[in-house]
Amino acid sequence: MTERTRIGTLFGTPGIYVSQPGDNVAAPTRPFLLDSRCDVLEIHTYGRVSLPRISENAGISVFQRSLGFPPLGYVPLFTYAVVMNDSQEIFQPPTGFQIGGSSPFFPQDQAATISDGGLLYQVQIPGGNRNLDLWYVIYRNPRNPTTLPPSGTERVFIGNDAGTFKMRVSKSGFTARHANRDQCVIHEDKQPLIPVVSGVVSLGASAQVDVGTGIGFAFPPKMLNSGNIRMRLNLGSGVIRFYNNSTPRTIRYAIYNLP
Amino acid sequence: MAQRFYAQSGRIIMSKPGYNAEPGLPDQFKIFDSAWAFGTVIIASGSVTGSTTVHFTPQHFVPLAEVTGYERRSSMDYINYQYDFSLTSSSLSIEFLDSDLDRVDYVVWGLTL
Repeated sequence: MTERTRIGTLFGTPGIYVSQPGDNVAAPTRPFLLDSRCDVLEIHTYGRVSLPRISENAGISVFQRSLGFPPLGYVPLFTYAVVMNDSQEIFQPPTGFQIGGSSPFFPQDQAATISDGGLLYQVQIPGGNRNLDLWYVIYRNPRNPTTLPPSGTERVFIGNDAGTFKMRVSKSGFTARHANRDQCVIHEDKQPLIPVVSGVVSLGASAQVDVGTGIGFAFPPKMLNSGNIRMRLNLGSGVIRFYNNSTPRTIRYAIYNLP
Repeated sequence: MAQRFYAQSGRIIMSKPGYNAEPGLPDQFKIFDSAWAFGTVIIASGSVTGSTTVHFTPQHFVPLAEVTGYERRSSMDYINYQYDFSLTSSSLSIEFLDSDLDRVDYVVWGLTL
């Protein structure tokens, strides 16, 4: 059986490492599932809200929504998208929107302004009113995190600590038993993203390519791809459309559900 | 009390409060499962205000990055696409291509081709 878990030193750094299924943790060929040298995105809050039209000028409609969230004391990482076309398609910025015809429309003005306790999103689209939703995720991760130097503190604890169950892999410099959720890669109270599907797709020059995932989504998921290619997802069918406006390329995509 | 840690037969599962960690548990109730085909590792994140090369913990692969540029106008951060970036196994180079571009946010993910 392939060795997949290492609690100890790897690459000269003590920690806990878990490789992907079938991949040898001591000589890995693919990224790790768990790497205590690194961080994980943790969800602070997320939602899907209406994105109303607030004004119209010379045939351009302005859609805007501001929302608050429990302040974190720092500006967090965040992500956002627009759900449109009968609430069936999610377009993840920075992207264009398919608002009619086969070519995507790229808004000249699209703003996303984040503070330590609020998000304001605005997009300007030609035409009249539309039924749009704003989808967003606010993470507990600071936009500009502090780099932690390696340390020899106790980094793994799984068990009962004075009557409290703890299941933790702490970040460098924090003792696992006494660390809070933001100081841990794994913590019993974490709210991580859930991996759903990933794949590799080749895109021709200036081509639109549809890829079926075979999975429907009741709530819009988090999407990303290695080429920063504009993409949309049909929530009902699970078909992803990639809009490559450049040279041919091969990319990886990944989709994560929210908890 | 739920049994929240499972480690048997080459598999580790950590569950959320109130759920027993076991192979049949739906993914939305898990914090971690070693059977997941890919992960949620974040190698680096941050924002830069000019062309920069960001160095991160060297990996055994070239990772994936999410990069978004913004320009500040009327107290709002408008998306600005005028940037380029490239990755190695230990660095992310971001190039600003427009004087209006004020900030580029990045997240380097533990994923690769």
